[in-house]
Amino acid sequence: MKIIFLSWFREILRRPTLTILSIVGVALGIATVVAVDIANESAKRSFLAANETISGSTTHRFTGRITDELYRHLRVDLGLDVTPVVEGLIESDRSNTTQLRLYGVDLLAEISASSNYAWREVSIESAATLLSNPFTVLATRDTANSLGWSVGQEIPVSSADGDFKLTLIGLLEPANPLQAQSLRFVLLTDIATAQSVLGKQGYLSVIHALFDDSVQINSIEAFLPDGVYIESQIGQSDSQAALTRAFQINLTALGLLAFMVAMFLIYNTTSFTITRRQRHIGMIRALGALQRDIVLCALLEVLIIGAIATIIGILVGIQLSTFLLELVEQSIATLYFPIFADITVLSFVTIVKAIMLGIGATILLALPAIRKISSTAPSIAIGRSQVETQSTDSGSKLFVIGCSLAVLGTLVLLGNQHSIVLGFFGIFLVVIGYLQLIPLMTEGLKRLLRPIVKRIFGVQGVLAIRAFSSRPGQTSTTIAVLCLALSATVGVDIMVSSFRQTVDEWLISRLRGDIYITTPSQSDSGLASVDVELLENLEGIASFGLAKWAEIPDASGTTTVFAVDYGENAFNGFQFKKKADVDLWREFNAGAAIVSEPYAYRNSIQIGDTVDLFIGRKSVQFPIIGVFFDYSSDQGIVAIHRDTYIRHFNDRTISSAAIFAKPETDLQTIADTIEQRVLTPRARVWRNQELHDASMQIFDQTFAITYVLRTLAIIVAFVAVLSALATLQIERERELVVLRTIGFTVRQNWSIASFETGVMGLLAGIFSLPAGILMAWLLIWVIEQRSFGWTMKMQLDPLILIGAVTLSVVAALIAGAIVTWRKVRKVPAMALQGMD
Amino acid sequence: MTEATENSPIVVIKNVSKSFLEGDNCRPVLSNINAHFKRGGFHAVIGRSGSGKSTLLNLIAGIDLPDSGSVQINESAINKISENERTLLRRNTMGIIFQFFNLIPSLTVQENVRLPLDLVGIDNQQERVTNILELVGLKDRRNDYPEVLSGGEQQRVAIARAVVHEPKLLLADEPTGNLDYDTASQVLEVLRDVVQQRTLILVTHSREIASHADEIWPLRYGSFDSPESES
Amino acid sequence: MASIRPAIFAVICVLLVTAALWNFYSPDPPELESSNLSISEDILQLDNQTFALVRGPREFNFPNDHGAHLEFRSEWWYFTGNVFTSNGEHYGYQFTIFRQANGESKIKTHSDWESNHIYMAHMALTDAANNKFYSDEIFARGAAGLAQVVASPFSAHVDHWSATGRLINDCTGCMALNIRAEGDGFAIDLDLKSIKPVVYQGDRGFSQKGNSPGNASHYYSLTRMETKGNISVRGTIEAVNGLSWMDHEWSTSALDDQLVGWDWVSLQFDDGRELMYYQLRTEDGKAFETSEGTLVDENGGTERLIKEDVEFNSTRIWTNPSTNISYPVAWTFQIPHKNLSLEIEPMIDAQEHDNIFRYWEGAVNVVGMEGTKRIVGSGHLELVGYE
Repeated sequence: MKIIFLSWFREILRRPTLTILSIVGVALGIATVVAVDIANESAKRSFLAANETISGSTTHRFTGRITDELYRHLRVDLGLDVTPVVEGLIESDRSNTTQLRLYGVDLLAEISASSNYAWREVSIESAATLLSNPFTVLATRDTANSLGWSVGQEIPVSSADGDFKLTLIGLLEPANPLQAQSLRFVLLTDIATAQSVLGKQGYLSVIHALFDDSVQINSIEAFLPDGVYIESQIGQSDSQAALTRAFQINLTALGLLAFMVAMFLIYNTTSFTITRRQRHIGMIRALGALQRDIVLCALLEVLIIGAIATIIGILVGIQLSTFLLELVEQSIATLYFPIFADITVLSFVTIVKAIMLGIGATILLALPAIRKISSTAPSIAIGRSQVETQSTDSGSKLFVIGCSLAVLGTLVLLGNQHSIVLGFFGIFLVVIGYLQLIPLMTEGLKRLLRPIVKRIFGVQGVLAIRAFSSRPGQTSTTIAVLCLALSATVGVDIMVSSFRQTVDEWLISRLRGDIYITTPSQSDSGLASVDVELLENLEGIASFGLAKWAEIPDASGTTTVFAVDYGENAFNGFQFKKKADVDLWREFNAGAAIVSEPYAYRNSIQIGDTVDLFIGRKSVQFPIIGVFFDYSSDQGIVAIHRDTYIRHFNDRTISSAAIFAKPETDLQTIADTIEQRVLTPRARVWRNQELHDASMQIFDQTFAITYVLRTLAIIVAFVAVLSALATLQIERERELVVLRTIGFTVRQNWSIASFETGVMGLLAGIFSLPAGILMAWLLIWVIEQRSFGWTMKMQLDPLILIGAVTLSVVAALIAGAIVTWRKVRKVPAMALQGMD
Repeated sequence: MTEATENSPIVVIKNVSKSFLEGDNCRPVLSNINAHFKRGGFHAVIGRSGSGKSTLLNLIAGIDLPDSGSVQINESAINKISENERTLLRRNTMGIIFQFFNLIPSLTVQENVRLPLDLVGIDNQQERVTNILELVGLKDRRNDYPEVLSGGEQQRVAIARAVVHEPKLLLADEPTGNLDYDTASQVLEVLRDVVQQRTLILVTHSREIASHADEIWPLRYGSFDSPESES
Repeated sequence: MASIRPAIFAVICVLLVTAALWNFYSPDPPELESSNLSISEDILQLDNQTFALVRGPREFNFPNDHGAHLEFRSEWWYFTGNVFTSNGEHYGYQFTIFRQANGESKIKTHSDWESNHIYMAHMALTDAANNKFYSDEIFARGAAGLAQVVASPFSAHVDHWSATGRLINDCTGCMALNIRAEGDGFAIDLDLKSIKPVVYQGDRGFSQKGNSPGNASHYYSLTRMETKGNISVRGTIEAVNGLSWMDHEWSTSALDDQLVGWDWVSLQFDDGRELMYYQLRTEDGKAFETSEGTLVDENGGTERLIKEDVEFNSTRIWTNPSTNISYPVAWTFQIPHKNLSLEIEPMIDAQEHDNIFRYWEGAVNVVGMEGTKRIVGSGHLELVGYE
């Protein structure tokens, strides 16, 4: 037994290239999965931690329009375990990119609480000091350093409410690195300072609560004033969690994609690693080695490859994840809120996944090959007539399998409306089903090509084509792997580009104003009335409209209401998915509402239904006359006329203004004039194009991670193809050497090899197009619409399709070239001798 | 496995037929052949390329199975036992010498020779390996890898490997087919030396080589002419 | 050679298992640890010169003086008592509201939350029968309605712990109060009614603590308040009756530098009299010269006791095993010229408040002789400044 193992593993050392390729391939697959997993998990953890570090692990929270008095009532009259928060964003000249989060708390309340509030360990002296010294803040050392701020120093900041000076009186000492990250760009202060700086006197942002079972939530809800809500923290049902969910879906999706490609890669490499030993196995079988011995050796080899690859994969994955996390952080910061932690959390589950994939899946995927190889007949006359004896599955059988898988996948897709993972599973089943057809299609194309190739390239061409008929199974698998990876990238590319295009068109259609003025969303006061007067008197302006973004209570939480009066022209910018058969503009003016597509999707709303919003205790119904396309929020928005809004809610504040210039006026001049003269703090003036570009930039940042993962999938596929071709070429080594001996030049051998790989790449590229389009369609249909309620028009960018085919051919050619390089250059005699 | 009597033939082939599928055609290779190889001595099966002699050797080794008929080794029908038992029978009672030597390239000379001992599970390997390498005259090269040996040397290693575990039956497939005349003679000498107490069945296309045998079985178009005895 | 079919089977198997793992297993977030913070005190510039100093006796005026005196830095309202169930089970309780002000900042936030007054409330319950001591504390700022003390009608609260009531006209400064508070695992809900007028401690309520001028407090007591109500311990509610004592004291600075703490005792005797005595300790453990007390007779008449009048000595040390701090928990108290001799024993030894502010305060029993007359009673002992 010993010597069998010895011979088996010395064989690896004799030809390490393939084994190294296998390890690299498997490791890359694992690294991708690990990286995505870490990024995902870290994003989730740090999001939770970011909330928890400053609020503690509480059970409930109150949101909405919370007055100081409500808090007093809860804490003093009812004796509930609650703590207040006033928070908001401020800007400092010292931080040019990131906003600071001013976080006002009542440390005394936190200290008094029995447990689980974030600041319960703070000393009473520190709490008292912060309380007694207005406009003082605390920050972590990292934050202070990055702002160039030292203790005792005063820095100017600005908020929606004006300019202030804050003094750093001490440092926050996070208990662990996680907290340190969560507290980045957080300025902790007393609630009085926070109210004052943020202009929120009399109001709180959030009340955190720690309720035990004795607290009757119903009875609390009963007396809550209108516009205040209580949410359970345990279900993570708040909207911020929903926002990160969107991210996780995309990340998980791409992770699964990488996983999928990795598995095919593993299958490919393990089966090649094993099948290339056929000759060796024949020999030792003839000498009396049992099937069992062979299986053991093969298993051990796969196990070792898997184990090494797993270790490397995890290590590389960790590295990779930091990179991914930076991208995630960027998107989160852009979209959601300015702090985000880039901690890498290598969880137990991630390691289990990696091991499952690296060792479990590797062995499982190697089993078919091992089974086949173990039944390899011992052979005496090795090297004489070793032909592929096992018949490959017939085309019709594969066709049946493929179709059944596709049907099964479709059933999974139709049967489950909510699970993203199942959605992906369904998509993969369909795509795998499609891959079944590859041998059939390869065979068909080969027949089609053969006469042409023979005419054009002569015997050399036929020799290259021959590879497909002599090893149909192997060739098809190689093509399938490449095809899968390509279709994944084509799918993601088409999805993202369709999305981008849709958003672009939507922005162009919606942004009808020439110039916009926007105010920060945290600002309650909005655009100052002097600025409205400015617009009224400014030259070059044909008209302008005002709008208000408001969070209005509804039956289950709050609804984002866009109260707009930009005029009829701008109203025509709404593109309707469904609309009532009425004069929309007139009805809209008369008090009807239109809702965005995600809003309709989330609330299962039809034309003719109503939106119920609360004004004080009573609710008001707004009839819905249209569902419009909108990509600004995955939570959905309701648009009503600003006059309607003012009539019901008596709120004349303004969030933004759209300005329509007179024809042939210089927009830049008007914009500059407004910018110079506008008095509202932190109001921003945008020209149409700027607003459009800024929105698209956010879009691109959001999908940056998608592009990276797509590139990774291509790299994995490339390695897969490299190893597959390497094996194919090693098997053809003898043939090439023979060709050399009978007079083929190095160049001719080169062209044969390149032709062969090139054709494989071409086939994979062509086959990937329908699969990629199919995948894009499913992604758009299953993932985007299902999770976000967004309709996208699928755009088939020919560049993507051509790019995929080109990429495939080039990748195959490069892989082929790398592999063939040494082989064809060998002096024939030497090569023949080395051949045992 | 029943113990065979001294005088019974070591290999009995009864009504054996074998054909191969080539595309849609069925090509008969052996048709209804009969043979019995006596215990001890040197038997040569002679035939042209494609006469089916390698197939015959595969059938005797239990590497391939007949379509009909039976192959008996030591009076047990090799086609009636399991694949695993056939492998055990092969490695315990047979030694095989290939035309292309088929030494394991990743093992040294002595590791190659030791391989059958390892498989059969015989201890005290080193002495046997040394002795047998001495017998084939390659003791000095025991730590070399096969690729640095000449063809004749490789085949001598292969012979050593085939006999190291003292099998009753030696099967050789054109053992000198890949060697020049002088080397082939040397190899044959070695082969004769090691045969002694064993039975050697050798297939070849060469009358010259067959002439060294005690008994010659001419194979023509898939069936035997009657055996010729050489003295 | 490789065929695609087995691969699909294997891929699907692995995908299913992994999908399950992906979907259903999500690790718990890490255990929350509290962050801390460090503040550089020396950079703060608060005006500490604004507080009034106690320089001599004042004219007390009720109900106003039951309320807060925000011009002074520190103030407390102290309720202690001994109550009994109908079965005679003895409980001691304490309910205290402290006010402490920081210097005032020159800049203002214009937020209702801004305050430089910090309120702290302590409550404790001694369950002698079960040898248990419960104690809790809370903090709140003196703003946004979270904590304040109002004179009329009397209302003192920190969060939801409160003492509310009104002046009654039976006697000077007399009050009827309800004390209601809920701590961790225990609660009190007691009605108090004073049956003796206000006792002015020290010199007409001017209590000199240190030698420096201004190191003094204004200090008065309601020494006998009939008490009835409910206490609850771990969910069990008991109806109780007994006596309570209220102290109200305020100052801006009290102790000289060399003073490290004090031992204070209030006793209510069955014969209708009360005794209060405190000794201020210097670093070497000796009683400081300003230590003093008051003996109150059945009708509310008072007799001032100075250090030279009494012998106040500890007889037993108890060490809290968890904090490793030793307290003199048993005492003898003698007034030689009255031939009065008392032995003070704690209801239980373990009555240390092991909270942010750590001290020993608990219910005590007292027995003794005055000449040949036997005296019994109960009270509270407070031991501050031990380390």
